[in-house]
Amino acid sequence: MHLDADQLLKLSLDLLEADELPAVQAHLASCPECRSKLAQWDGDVKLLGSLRVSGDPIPMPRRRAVWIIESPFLRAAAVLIIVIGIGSLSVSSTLRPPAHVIPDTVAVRPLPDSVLHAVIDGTEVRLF
Amino acid sequence: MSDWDLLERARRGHDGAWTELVSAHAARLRAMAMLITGSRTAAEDILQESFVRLLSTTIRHQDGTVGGWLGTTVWRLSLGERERTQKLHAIESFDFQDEATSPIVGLIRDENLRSVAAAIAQLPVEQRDCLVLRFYGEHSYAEIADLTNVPIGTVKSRIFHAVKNCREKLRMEGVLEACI
Repeated sequence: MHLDADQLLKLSLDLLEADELPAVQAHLASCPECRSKLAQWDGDVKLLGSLRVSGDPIPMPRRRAVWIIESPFLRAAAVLIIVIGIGSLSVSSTLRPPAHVIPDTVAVRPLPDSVLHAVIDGTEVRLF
Repeated sequence: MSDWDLLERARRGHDGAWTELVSAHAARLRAMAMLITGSRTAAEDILQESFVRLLSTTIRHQDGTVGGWLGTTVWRLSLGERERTQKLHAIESFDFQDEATSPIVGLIRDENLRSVAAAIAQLPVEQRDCLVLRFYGEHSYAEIADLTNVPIGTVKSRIFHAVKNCREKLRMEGVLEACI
């Protein structure tokens, strides 16, 4: 009595129940015909998983920021630059004079006579 | 060198390690994404996204394989794409990798592979998903049960019938020999 197609397929797919396995294996050991059929099933199963499709290349994404984080030297350099940057900003902001001065009072001087008067055709004229 | 070692080197900027990793998995995963989504364009985008995630994601445990991790990512992205488009396009213009040395043998081989692709694509979607996860995603039956939210017995049954259906179709087309 040979193994049937379902048994061979289950064996090929590793689906046989544990209690079925010893009898099936014992039969295979003594039956070249079933071994041949099993090899054919194995080939067919392998064929179903053999599709391969070529396509566009997949370039490696560049992760420079991560390189800096992962490198101890670059990490220390980055921290140093940040600290120096923050430090220089705080120092420059404390020393810098205020940009605009708004006076509390404004002194007003009287305009001189040369501005207030003019002589036109021999006649003195008051402008303001 | 293991895939995990290659990944670690790629993360440190080694182009060679990256190329080796991509070469080992891209063609298989591209086929997987195509079989799930039915779209070459979508499959290409999914593949690019999966590899970018592989490089940028922190994978805390390395019990599984890089191929399995990529398979799961491709599966999830492909499923999302299929649900978004809600349609399965016809298998179109497959450009299979030619591993044959002779052009005529390569031609025959391509024809057979096209038949295989068509047989898988024509399966009921539940059977096809399980078969693709098993053969292209490198997943165990238990992992497939987890990914598809069905009992493991159902997964085994679906894969059994998927293979049987494909084999019958390919045998009738003369791609496979009838032995039983």
